[in-house]
Amino acid sequence: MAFMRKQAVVEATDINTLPPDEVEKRITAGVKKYATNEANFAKADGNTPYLGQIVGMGIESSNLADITMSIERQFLTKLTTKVPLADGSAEYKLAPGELGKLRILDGQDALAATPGLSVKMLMDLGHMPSSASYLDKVVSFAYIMACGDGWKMADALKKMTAKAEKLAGAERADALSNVKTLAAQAKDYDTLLADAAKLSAAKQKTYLSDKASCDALDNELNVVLDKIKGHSGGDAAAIAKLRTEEAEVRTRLKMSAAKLRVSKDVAEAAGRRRPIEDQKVAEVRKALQEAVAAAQTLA
Amino acid sequence: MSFPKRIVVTGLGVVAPNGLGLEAYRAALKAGKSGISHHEELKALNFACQIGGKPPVGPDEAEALIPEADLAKLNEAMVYATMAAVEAARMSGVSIDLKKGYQDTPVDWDTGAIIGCGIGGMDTMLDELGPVMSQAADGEPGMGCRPMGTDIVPKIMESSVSVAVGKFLGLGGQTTTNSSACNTGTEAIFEAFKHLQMGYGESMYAGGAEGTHAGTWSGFDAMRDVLCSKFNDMPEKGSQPMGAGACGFVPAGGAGVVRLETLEHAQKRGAKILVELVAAYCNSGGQRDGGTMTFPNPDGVARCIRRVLKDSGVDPKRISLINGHLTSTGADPREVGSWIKALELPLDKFPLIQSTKSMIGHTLGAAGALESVAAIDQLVHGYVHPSINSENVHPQIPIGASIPHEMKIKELEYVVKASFGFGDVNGCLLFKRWDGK
Repeated sequence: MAFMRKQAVVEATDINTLPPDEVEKRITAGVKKYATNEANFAKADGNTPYLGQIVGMGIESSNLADITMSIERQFLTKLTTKVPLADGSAEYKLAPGELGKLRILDGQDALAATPGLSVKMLMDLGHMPSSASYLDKVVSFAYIMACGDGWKMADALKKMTAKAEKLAGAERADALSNVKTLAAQAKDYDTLLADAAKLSAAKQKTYLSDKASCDALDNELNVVLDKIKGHSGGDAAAIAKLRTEEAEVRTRLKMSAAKLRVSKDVAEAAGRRRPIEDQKVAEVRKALQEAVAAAQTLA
Repeated sequence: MSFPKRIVVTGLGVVAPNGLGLEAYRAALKAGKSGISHHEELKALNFACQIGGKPPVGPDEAEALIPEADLAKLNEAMVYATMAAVEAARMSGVSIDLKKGYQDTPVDWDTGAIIGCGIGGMDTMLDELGPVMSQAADGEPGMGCRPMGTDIVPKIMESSVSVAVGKFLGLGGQTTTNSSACNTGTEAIFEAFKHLQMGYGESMYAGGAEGTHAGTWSGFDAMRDVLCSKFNDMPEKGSQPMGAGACGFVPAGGAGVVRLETLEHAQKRGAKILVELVAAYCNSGGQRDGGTMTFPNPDGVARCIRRVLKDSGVDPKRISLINGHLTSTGADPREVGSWIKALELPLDKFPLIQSTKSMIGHTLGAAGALESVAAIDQLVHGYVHPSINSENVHPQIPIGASIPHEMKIKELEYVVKASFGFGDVNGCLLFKRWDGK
């Protein structure tokens, strides 16, 4: 940061002394230096995704850890006592204790895609009291994802249409064919977004597929663990090989479980559309319809 | 299509201690204006050398060009490289305004970048990474490095300068960083020249960048007689290439970038051609026969220069100006000796010879590039900048009459630029005035 002006030192505040709107405001301000899409950041609210150049703040996914740290630096919590998850385990959960540094544990921020969802995460984890009136204003993770996909599709279609417009001859024919295909997909997605039940069904399907993969890995892990038990006191080389296999399966299982957690949340929330989400859906549907109309005019 | 292709220069960009931007740089060079000043920070650190060349760039200048959020992700050298490359791009006819957004500009698949760096992101290493590492052992298990944040790697990786340029200009050709100590900037231009000659691209941004963190200069300060320590109270007199009082180089930083293009490409897009790069070469003296880690083998230097002359077929008599490496150290007389040996001209017919370092100090990885920009600008505008602080020529330099002590208005035909670096590495470039053919 050779040429950055000196940053003000952030004084951490007891999160319980702040209303949720203020926490959200501080979280948004704290991530400003990572937001490369200045225009979007300038109009960002609690429901603006951190990631994404089109409707997000333009923060790169590699900076998500910085966002978590920024949140940790700004607030103090009473959840500071570390309780091991199992005897001798290095993993722990947090229980009430003395007021101290806020710690967001590995994976807890998986759904915190917007400042509003970050506040929701802090409420869900018990760092601050839950507020129904605040949460009513927070677009669910499911709809941040669903609308984000819509924005990306509308943007791609607009760009493709604009590109095709400038071409001639065979190149134009090829481009128009692509525009047509993408326009059809955009139209289908618009229809899907229009119906919360259909969207939910589609997301449910994704969830079931993710769950099946996760279950399969769970079974695979159990098989390996059984084999290790069977070798107790036996061949050291074979046990070492099985331990390696166990570590590998556990890694895959951890990733799969994280993915499942997201798709489960999306599947559950997609069917419960609230007014705040209606509004977001309406905006992205309008963009999709305009992009489709422009594409059809050209075709 | 014939190979090798002819290569021309269509854009220049400068961040120098004595001028930010080409116009300011030209004015400073013509006026013999030094960019060397005293630095209290070096004094506080008990450096023997307390003078240096820092470009006139602060938060205001950086923020005027680069969006604030991007600036947080750049080390000092990356900022300089970006500023110089954007200027070179604009001069070559590319319309670009980073503040208005750059992410949506199309990829330029025909253009790449070779921007070198001698030392790298020392500011990031010492000011951001170091403090965290020193406390990492006291951190929670698995959390020792986390306070570094996630922008550290792109700021300490060697290629940071070229990838910054690639990001802002949307380059789709090879984008890489070279490093060969003080020969870095010259070598970058040589590498880009070869790349384009062989048809691997149509255009390249080439040059070098270096930061000015005290840590970058500290290792040189630890060496005896390498940095200038006798002019702390007269900083502008500290850099005396070819001068009798030369007592070590003055450390500096900055960036120089040239845009090289194939002649066809430049003509096709109607770009204004500045000069032609007719030949370029790099070699090493093998650290033998007088060549060491810190001194060049004179044979290696002479061979490097001769190779450029041979490849270009240019008679040494047609060389109007030498822009030497000439650092203001005990190596200057040896370098001049190598030029005399390589050119094989009578001493009274020896071309003009100058050192841009007399005004900007030694910008290490950026030196060859900043000095190439000076060489090209002199060819384009028909002048020879003074080599200041050498009024009393070193007694072992027999071509004192060839050193310009004042600015001269002179039409130049060929200008040769050379750099020599630690590790006994050499580079030489031959530029020709563009006459439209």
